[in-house]
Amino acid sequence: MHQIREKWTALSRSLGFKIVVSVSLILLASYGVFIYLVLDIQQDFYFSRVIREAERFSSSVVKATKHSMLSDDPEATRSIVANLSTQAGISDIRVYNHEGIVRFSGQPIEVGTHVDKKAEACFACHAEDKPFSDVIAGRLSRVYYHGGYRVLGMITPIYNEESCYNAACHAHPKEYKILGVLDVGMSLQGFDAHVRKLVIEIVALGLGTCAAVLVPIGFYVVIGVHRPVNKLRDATKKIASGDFVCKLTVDSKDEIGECARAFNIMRDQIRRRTQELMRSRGEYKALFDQVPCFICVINKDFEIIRQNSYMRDLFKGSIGMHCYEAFKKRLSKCEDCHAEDTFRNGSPSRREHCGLTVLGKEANYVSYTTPILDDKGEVLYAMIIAVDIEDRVQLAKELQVTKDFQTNLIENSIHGIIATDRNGRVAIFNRAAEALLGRQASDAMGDPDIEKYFPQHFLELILAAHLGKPVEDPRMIAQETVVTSADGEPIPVRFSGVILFEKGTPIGSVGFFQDLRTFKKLVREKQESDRLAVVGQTVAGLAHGIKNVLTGLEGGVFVVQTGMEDDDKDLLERGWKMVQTNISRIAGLVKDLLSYSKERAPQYEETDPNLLAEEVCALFDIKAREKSIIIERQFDSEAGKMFKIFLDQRGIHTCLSNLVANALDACEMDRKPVQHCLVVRTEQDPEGDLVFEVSDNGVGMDEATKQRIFASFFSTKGSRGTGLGLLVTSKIVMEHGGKISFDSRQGVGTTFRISLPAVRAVGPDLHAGGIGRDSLFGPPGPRKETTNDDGPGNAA
Amino acid sequence: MPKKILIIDDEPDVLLFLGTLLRKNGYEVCEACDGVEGIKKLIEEQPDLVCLDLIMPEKTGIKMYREMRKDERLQGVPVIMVTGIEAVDPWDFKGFKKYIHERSIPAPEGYIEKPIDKEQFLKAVREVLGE
Repeated sequence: MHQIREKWTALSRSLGFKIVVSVSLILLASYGVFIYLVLDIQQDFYFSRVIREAERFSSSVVKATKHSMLSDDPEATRSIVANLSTQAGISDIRVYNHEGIVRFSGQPIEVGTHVDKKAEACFACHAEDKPFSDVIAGRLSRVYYHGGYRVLGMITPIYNEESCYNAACHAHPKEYKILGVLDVGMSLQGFDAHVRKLVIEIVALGLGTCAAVLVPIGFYVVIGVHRPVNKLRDATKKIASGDFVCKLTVDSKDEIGECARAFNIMRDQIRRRTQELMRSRGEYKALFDQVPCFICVINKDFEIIRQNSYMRDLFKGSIGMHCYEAFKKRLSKCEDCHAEDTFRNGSPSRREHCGLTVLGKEANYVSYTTPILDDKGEVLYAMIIAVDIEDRVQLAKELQVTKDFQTNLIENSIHGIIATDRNGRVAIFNRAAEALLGRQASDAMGDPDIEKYFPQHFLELILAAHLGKPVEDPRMIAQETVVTSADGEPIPVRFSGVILFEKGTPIGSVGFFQDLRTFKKLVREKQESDRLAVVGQTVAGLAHGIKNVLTGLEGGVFVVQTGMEDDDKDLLERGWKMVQTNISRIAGLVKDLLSYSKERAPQYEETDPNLLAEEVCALFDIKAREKSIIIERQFDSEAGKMFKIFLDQRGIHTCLSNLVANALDACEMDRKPVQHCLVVRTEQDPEGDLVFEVSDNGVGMDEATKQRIFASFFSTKGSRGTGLGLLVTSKIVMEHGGKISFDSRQGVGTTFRISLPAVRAVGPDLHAGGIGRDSLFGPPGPRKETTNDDGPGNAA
Repeated sequence: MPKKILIIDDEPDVLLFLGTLLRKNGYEVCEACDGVEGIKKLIEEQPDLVCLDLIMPEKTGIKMYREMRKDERLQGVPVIMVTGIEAVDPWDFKGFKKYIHERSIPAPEGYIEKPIDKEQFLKAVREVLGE
């Protein structure tokens, strides 16, 4: 029953049903009206026919009774009336006289009765309860029920014709217009039966026609409207329930077909949009959850109603918790709550905060709040998006520390630091710069007149950089220069400066000033101190040398004395020789000392180097032979032929003598069972530079000896050496602008090499030392070329 | 019987001077001019004292002293080291003392600095010989 009711409800609400019902009602109403009108017309038609028939019948009665009336034959009249009243379809016939009394009737019982003039049949003519006065006009028929069926009563007036009021039988006054009326009653039973039949037929016809119209319409509505609409409805319900699979079959081209096609398109679009929406939603959810910043949505009570995983992990907030509880672990709203601004103004806001994580660590973040509005545009929620700026804050702190450090560094630097900005104005002027230049930083900062601060060369670099001119090196490194203080005092400084570039554009410059006033003073003091130290060392070494010689002399004298006392001639001779040796040694010491201590310009004169070398060799030949040492000469025969050679003969002679003497000593000290020899070599290279070499196959030198052979008073020969020979040699070579070098291997031998630059020009200046010579060598001074082994040896 | 003293020095003048001085004072003297000869003479002559120069060619006094102290036959012979003054020669007493200390070599019995003073030298010799 319930299902039936539901189906009925559904059916009654369906569009097809409503269409069918509407059409049916309209059709039925139309037919009803139509049938009513048709019946009315038919009835009027038939009724008028009945009235005409009644009129004709009444006229016939009048005419039939006229004669008997005129002849005043009541029986005849009565008979006529009685006969006529028996006619089929005649209900009754009455004749009323002028006073309203029934004179004749089909029912004799009515004769003589008085009619009520107020009765309906009479009222048409009798306006008052009066006799007829004039010609009767208006409706003369009436319908009334008699004997169970309807009767048409027809009143026909009987006028007072001339024949009547002139008749002899009785006198009707002439002034009577109407003598009486004939009332004929005609049964309407047949008429009504006919009408009923007609009604039944027309209604049946109407109903049949209605059915004939409604059935196809209903069928069409069911097939063409109800079913497709139901399908459409069902499909819509499915889409509403999220089922996008169903597809409507389009099999018509009418509006419903178009609607179905549009539905399919709409379904596809909705499905696509829904899928996009789902995807966007998924993406949004993923974004919400995975975005590397914490997001939450709060209501006006500052309660969290949604949060992402980042926030959940970091602050361990939960839904319903207040945002300040989660973010800052506090019990009341923050004083500087900017979410409140968003709720109040409906506008986004931003603020930096420092919260506390679940671990109790500080979490710096910048928080953005955005209003979430309802349909009325009122702020419903606020979305808080907070970006972790811990790194940035940390970086800022570190940057600040670095900046403070650098500021401290700059301010507390012992060197003056002055920097300019890209506009060429002073931007940094530290305390040391203030002290150095005697200017206040407050005056210097922003000063465009940087000529007051930087040396000229650096100013030129700055200018070139700003003009975009190519600069080979935009730096000055540790250059000694002089700047002027505010008081005009020249201040020696070591200046380093650099032009600062950014992508090729100069953005400033910075200069570092090392105050050299103290340094210069210290240098002067050190030079003095060094000089005194050298003097002291020299005196000590000299004293030692002299003491050695004196000891030797003392020893010699002791030996001589002992020889004399013991009359030992051999001992006497040996002692005397010892005395002689020590006397010659002290003479050599004095000579070397003089050579070393005296500033002496070389006395250049044209020299044959081979001859000079030969002189030295000859000097040592005898001594060498005594010790079975060979002196070999390897002289360059071309030396002095291409270029003339100018030397300080005395000086170079001394040098060669020292080297040959050392070589002989080295050979003498050597215990190798070999033929000791030394080689003296001269050579002039194509550029005119002259080389003297003295080689030996003596003891060679160890590393320690190599390090010290040019030190003053160093000797490997004990008291036999003065420790000045190589020192003197190196000094003379330096005075020539040459260099001395050596190569020695312990147990193998030593080679000393003196290189002297060519002297290109000669003239009077040569003797003054200010010669125009072109040294092809580096700065004068001894240099060790190679070292291979250890060993004592050639230091004299 | 006079005590025998071995003088080892590469300078003939020193040998002559010290030899004459010691002989005149009643000692028997033998001489060597380097370490190699010194070791040889040490074994041959069995001296009571060695005067050893620190700096010498071939085998320096340092090497010789080290060998002496390693050799069971020679390690009992007292030694007076002779050398030049500090900061002038490559090896002075300071460097020598550091050298033997690092190698745990027993120190010599006496030191004499050049130039040699006669009385100081004789005093040192007598002290070492226990006279």
